[in-house]
Amino acid sequence: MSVVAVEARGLHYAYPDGTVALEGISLQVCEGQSVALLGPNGAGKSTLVLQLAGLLTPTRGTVELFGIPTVGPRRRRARQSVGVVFQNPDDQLFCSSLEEDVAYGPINLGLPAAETRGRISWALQLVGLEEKAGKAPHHLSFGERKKAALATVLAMKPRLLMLDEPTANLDAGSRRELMGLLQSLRETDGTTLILATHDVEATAELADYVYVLNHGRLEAEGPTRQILGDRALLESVHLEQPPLTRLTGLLKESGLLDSEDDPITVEEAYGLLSKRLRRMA
Amino acid sequence: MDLRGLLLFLEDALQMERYALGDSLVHRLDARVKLLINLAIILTAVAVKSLLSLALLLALVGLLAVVSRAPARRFLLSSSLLPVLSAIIGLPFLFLLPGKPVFALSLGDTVLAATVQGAERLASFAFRVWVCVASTALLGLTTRFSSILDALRRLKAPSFFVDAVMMTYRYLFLFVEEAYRMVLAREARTPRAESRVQFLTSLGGLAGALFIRAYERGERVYLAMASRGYPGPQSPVREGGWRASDAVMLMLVVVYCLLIWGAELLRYGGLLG
Repeated sequence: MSVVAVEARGLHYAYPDGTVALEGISLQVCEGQSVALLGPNGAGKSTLVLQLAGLLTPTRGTVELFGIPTVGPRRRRARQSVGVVFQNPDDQLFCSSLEEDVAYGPINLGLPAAETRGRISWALQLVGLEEKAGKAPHHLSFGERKKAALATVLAMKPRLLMLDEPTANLDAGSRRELMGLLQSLRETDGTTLILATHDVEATAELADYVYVLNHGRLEAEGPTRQILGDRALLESVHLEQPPLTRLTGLLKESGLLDSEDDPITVEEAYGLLSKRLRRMA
Repeated sequence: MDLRGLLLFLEDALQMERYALGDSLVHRLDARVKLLINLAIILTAVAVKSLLSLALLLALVGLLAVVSRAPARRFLLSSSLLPVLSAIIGLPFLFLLPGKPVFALSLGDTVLAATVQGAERLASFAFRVWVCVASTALLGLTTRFSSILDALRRLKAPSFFVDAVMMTYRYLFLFVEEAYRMVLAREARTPRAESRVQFLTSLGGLAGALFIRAYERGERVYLAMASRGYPGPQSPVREGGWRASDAVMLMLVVVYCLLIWGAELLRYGGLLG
């Protein structure tokens, strides 16, 4: 039986001004899974990530990280297994040099100096920023800052990695690099991933299970293919299917394509369409 | 200078660290030594009274600046703004201290007489600020900020102080950039010339919005720190140790400062007359 990485039960959260951000969220993510919290702006995704990471205390309900409650005397212990990459890297990079920022987490974990140095170079190499170790964060480009923010968390080697809008504001090249990095973390290292995003294409590429959030409530959940294949559901929460899923859907509606499956990635759509085109030729 | 110009000036001033990547005897000194030299110069400047002593200290800072090949314009610009402001603030000294009159200003029934003693006090005040600011500016021009923080930690400065300095520096850049973007957005919606009242009103609004944004960012940064174990056993990322040249340079500066200090003590203590 797989280990439960994070489990939320009946999670409610209201901000001090009374705004209700989350209402009765219950979810479970197992170790090794890659899960997307999909929803439009203001759905409560970021708040849910902070709750799941034990950084905010729920108004009602509970969160457990690897079986340890995030509230109470063991909350620090619970937090050690999770790394959070914030949406805005400027919130995350607060030290005067990239090297110091990457060292911050390992030092706070109480790792010896030699291991801390090893973690710094490993994490920076992984994100391709080892040449910029001594640079101040404000001298890095936005794409580099985003990767640097990821490195600060990777250096802590978390069992569970949560990313808030990982692809937001990235150019195509930086996005591709980041997606490749996350894919390899998932496939090679078996890192458990939770992505809070409204990017349906990133969801298609990275997630194998999706929770759909809207107005602080869970609207739906299911395997990625099932959720991204449900056009009505996505449109009801101000989202859209990935363009190629939408295209093949239209082709099927007009009788030009007959297939049981809805492709959700470029590769899948290419496979389906090339087969059809070859038959026609 | 308008608001946009001021922010651009600040942004440029914050880029001082690029000069710290140079190579000179001063650049190569251990950051702790440079901090201690700065401290010795500041303490001496605060303690001494005579203009000659202050001039000797300024000469020392000037000599170090020459040795470091610091860019002269940048050095003078960053070290002279505050002394000018200090001279303006200290202007009342000129008229308030009793002594030998130099000239008098007549304001209706009131006559303000400037005195030699007032002028000396004013000059001493501005000169003192100049020495301290010039020494600190030189530290900034020759030392990377991360090295200064590392030096502070290794000199056992309280960690909350070092963290506060680190974050202030880090977020000053963002603060200036954010303010600049807001000023541009305001200008984009201000097609006609504003009256002074309108300008001040929008400036107040801008300051308020900046404060709220800074507060919100502060909360997010705290959460980011907490997610990486704050408050934990933060310790420095260590750099190399002291070399003989570091010890010699520190000793020379300390002896120079002590000589100035000693001469003042003797003079004002009555031993020299």
